[in-house]
Amino acid sequence: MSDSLLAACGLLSPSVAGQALALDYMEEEQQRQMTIKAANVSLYYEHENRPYVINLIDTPGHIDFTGKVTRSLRAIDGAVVVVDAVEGVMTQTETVTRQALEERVRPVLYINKIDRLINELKLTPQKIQETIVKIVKDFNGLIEMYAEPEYRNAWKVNLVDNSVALGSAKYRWGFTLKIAQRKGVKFSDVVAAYGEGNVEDLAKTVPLHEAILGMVVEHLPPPHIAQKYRIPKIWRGDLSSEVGKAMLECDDNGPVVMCVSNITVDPQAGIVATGRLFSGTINSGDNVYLIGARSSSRIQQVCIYMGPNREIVGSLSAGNIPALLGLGKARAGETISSTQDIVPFEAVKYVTEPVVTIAIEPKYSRDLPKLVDMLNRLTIEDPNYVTKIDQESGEYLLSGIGQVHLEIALTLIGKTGLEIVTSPPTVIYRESIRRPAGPFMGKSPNKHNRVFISVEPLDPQIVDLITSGQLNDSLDRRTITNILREHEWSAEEARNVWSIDPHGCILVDRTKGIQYLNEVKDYIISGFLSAMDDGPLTREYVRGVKVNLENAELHSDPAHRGPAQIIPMVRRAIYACLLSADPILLEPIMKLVSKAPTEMVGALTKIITSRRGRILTIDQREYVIQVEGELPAAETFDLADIIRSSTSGKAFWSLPFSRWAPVPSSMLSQLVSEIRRRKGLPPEPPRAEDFIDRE
Amino acid sequence: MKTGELVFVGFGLGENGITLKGLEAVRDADEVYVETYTNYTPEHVLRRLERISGRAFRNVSREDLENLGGKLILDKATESTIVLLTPGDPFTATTHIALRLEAEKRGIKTRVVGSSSVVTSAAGACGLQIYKFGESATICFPDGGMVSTKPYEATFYNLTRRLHTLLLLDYRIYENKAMTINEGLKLLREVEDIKQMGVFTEDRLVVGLARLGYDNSKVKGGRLDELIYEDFGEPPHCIIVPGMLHFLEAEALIKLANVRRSLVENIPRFRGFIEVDTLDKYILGVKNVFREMKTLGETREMSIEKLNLALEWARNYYDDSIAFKHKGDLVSSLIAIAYCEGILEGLRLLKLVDFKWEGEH
Repeated sequence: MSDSLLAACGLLSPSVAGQALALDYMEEEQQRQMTIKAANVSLYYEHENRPYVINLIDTPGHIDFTGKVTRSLRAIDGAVVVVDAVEGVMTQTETVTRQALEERVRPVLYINKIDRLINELKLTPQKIQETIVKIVKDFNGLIEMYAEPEYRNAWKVNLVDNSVALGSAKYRWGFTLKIAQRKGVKFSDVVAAYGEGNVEDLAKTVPLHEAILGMVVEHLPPPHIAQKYRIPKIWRGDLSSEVGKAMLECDDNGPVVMCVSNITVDPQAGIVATGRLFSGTINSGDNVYLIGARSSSRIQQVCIYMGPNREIVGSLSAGNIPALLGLGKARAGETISSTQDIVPFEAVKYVTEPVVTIAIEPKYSRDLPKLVDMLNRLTIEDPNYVTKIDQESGEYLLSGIGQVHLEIALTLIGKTGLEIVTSPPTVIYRESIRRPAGPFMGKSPNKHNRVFISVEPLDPQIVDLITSGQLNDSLDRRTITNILREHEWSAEEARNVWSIDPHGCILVDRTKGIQYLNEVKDYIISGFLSAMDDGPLTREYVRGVKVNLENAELHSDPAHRGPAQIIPMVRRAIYACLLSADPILLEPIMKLVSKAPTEMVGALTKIITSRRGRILTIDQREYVIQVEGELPAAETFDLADIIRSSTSGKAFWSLPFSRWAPVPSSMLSQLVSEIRRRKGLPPEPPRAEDFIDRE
Repeated sequence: MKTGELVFVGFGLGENGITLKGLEAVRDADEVYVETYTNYTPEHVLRRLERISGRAFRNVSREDLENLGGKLILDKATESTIVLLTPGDPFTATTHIALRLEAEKRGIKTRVVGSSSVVTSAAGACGLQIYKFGESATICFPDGGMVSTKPYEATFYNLTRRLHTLLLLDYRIYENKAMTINEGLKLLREVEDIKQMGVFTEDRLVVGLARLGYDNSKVKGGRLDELIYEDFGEPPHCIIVPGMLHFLEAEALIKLANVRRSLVENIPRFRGFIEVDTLDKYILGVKNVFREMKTLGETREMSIEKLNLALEWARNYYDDSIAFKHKGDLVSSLIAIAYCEGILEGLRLLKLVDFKWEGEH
């Protein structure tokens, strides 16, 4: 689809469009015929004799890449949601549309692959229209469900007002109702065109780009209008401040404020930060502040993306999507500004957590620095990859959202000529507790300091707020207090939150008037974070635990209460608590959404139920049956092969992360020893007594 | 079975700092361990000690003594006589008390052979009186950018009470670094920039002491901005901040620490501490006013009832001040008496009452 749009604007020759996949410019993407990275391009387009600049970001469709989608949405004001005419509105459509609406991005609908209804399913024009009406209805159902009340009706799409387009990207034709009427094209003409082999003519009469770009120009708002209602939703600062007003007005003369939505690492140019400029004018050579990184940097070049090519433009004004060179510390989600003390854009919310891990080693040990370099690059470009060095084995561990996500990473590494050895994928677990425990005392190694700590399970709603990024340590204290007060925390506890661990744990200071506590606060927080990173059972992350600092007695002299004394003391006390609190492992549960011809229903349900899974819904649609179920990630590694072989390759399916759930008690102890063995630890986990210090 | 013993022996400061009694204990021991992580100890000091005692020492690390609760040494001490050699005096650096208590808990006999410590030697080396030292503190290398304000606060409270302060300097055996006087003073200046309570101003009199107990020790006092660049040579170092000086102390600083006379005569008085004598003077002053005050009668603005109410408030604050003082809460007592004075002064300005403060004409 993107290729047709580029062709319209003279970037690709019309005959190559459809095969070139210009925006899918990574070779890997072209081979897999899908979009992996969010690619940017700015288009110049004339509609009804008026010129328009359209900034297009092509976002990935596969479920393993939803992190990229989320980040792109911040930068844009409108979205063309593409739905496959045969598959209809899918889980992924729902996820993406929901995310768009949450960021107040106005969606319009493009129904693609109409040709398949004609060629493969041999539907009559009447049936085709029914199918389209059904998709529009389903799509509006999503808007009804997820849009805020004031946009619920205004943003619904319909054929009559041109907010829905139909077509085939492959054959490069498409139209909205208005275009069809103006040019006198009817469904029967389309069906006939395929029958007579005149599709090329169709592409000339009703080219796809006219339909899509016309729809974009008519329905998607320009920046100065969109920012008026989007800024209050996506920015938490004071709207009546100078910066706030400038952003609401999309003011070219206001202070520079840009939110970075994507980072790429270019072998020549280094880090390229792309994002939305909400206010001001940005020039090559400007000095700007990176609010999150707390540093300032000089912009070497201001560019604009034309597909794979960056064009140097020197200067861009508010509303554009600049690509900046020279900002080495910039990361996705960063706020860039000409003023130092502005409120940053809230951390972009991610919808998925990495749940699958592989260990990577270079085939030749001399290549280790190259591998480390490559892994760094991967995590900078896509923060949904997480790398960690295993303390015991010294292995490099790479975690991703799913198997496809990891395979892409491996291919990218392979491309650089680096030969690597990888382990089979393993599932990431979380450690948690089932009841409160403590307080237990921890003593520092020199026995001159004592700390008393208790733990309790953390409210699941708060855990969700933390893991989705809505509650985190970079928020100011008052915001944190307010959020927790809304969830029925006492004012006292909400005010005294010391640290929020991103995997879903909180440290609260319950003490009063302890001498020198302020001087060891940072060490206590380090101890807490390190214990949460390395649970006592299996050294996996800890999730859903509230840690309370109940009391402390500290040596008066700083020489006797340094980090080497305080950090191990805090860890010991927390471990004693966790191991006494009925500890459990949580495993990632995936949601399998599969569609297949009706007769395959038995095969699909059997796959789910035979793998510790359960069926959620079975939905009979017109030509297909949709089966939704949940199953543990640990049972999904051979799923692709099994589904292919038991449905003769006729099933479409996706496997997004659903939730964390306790591992069945009957499996717990065996699983704990298995994970420990894999990590080179003694198979028996430590006991609480090993960490309990007595008087 | 032989009963064991754990003997803590300090080997003092510098070469040959061990006592004769300590030397005997080392010679008689079954095994001798030495720790050097509590203070910087040059290698030649230990080698010489081995030579004169005729014994070979084993090094123990902080982890040996702390993480395993000193199990290594305690196990041996149950059946044999073990000496643990420490720099300075064994229990002045508070670290080893945990080990001694653990030994006692296990029924192992313990004994201590003391020696000189920097805490006493530093005072002696520059002629300051040990009676007049307040709380000590260690200036630590900042971890993660965090500079402890404890040494600053300890010095502040000591100065308000006119006391001297001994500041020890951090030592990290694994990183092989011992803080110098210059580094310590720089950190104190950083804290001054944050706290701004006038403790470590450029003109603050400080004394630097290097290598106490060694033949080439150096003691030099002066203004902070002079000493911050003074070269004191090899570690170990420490710092003293003198409080109010007795005339003999002043004389000693001039002779022993090479301090200019103008500096010892001009130590700024540090107020911040409430003295009982001063407080009593305020309370007595108000008491006299209550006794001698004349009421001038009502005015258009204030009826006699309102005036009596105001005087009753003043009386209440006076009573509170005395009550706080009896509880030892001098700060609240001072606040209450000052409030009382304020009410009285206000009434006098409005010409509702007439009185004179003591000493007022």
